[in-house]
Amino acid sequence: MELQNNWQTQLRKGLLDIVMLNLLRHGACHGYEMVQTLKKIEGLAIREGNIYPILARLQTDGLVISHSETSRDGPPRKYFELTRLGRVRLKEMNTHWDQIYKSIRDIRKGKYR
Amino acid sequence: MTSETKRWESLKAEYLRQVELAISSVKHPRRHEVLEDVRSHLDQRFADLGPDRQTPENMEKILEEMGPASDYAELLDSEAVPFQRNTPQKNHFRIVLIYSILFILGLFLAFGAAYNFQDFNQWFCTLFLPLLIPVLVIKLVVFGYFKFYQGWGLPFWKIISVNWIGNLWFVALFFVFGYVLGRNISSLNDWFPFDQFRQVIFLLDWFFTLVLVWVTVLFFKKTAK
Repeated sequence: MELQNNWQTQLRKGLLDIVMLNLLRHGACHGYEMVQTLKKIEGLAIREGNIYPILARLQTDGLVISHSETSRDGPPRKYFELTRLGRVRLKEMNTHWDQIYKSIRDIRKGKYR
Repeated sequence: MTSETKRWESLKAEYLRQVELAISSVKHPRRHEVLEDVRSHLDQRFADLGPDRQTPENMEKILEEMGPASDYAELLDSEAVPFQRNTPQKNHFRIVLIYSILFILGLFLAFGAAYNFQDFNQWFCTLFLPLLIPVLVIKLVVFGYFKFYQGWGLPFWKIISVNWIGNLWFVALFFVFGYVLGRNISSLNDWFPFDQFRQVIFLLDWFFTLVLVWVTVLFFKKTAK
């Protein structure tokens, strides 16, 4: 069971970049909102703090930029959005993911035996 | 400040201290930004609880849901998953550009060899330049069709065979224009003097393109290693 949990955790962590970029694909979003969305998605629920180091890394890589916007019910909120490079990278990542998904499905069906 | 708020501030400060300690081991330029984002997130979570649910259990639950401090360092470590600055699209463009230069150079050397690198006026403007664009297009299309622009890890037999196909198209189209259309449409002869063209150029172009592509592929393979 511990092995299973560890594998799931590692897999989820490995997928976080593509998940975050896809969340930002349809427009700017703030961190808190992203966490709330992820919580609703089965299998992708992550520890809330996990998104900030990932967003920081994606910003350093030039895939995401951030800006602050005033909020009616509190301090200014930091919004994240994809850069042009981020969109290009995301397209490649999605293509690669589709390929992996298809290959695993084919293996499971016994196509290569 | 209520006792609940005081308690929360104390718990929050301790959590942030642990996160700060964990990420200080990672030399990431945005680690202070991460800390501020986490602080802001915690404030939002606490505010969302509302006054009647600000119990010690709920405060602990918020911090638990944030995850252990060690996670931040692990996820912030850019060494784990470095991104390439050069996108594949850019590399793709560069490879096509390099092949274009090789094809142009191959044809130029073929003409030069056929005319002993003399009498440039006799062949450069009248023969080489008119043929350059059609040859370049044919070779780029043929090499592209066989997926030559996806990298430099190509086997040599493939370079030979694809270059053959490229030159066969070159020869075939040349003969169609020169001997079929050229006889019937006199204006084609104004554009290109087919009679002056030395046919050994087909073979020389194949040879020089092959050598140039081979050398380039070898160079990139060695550089990659």
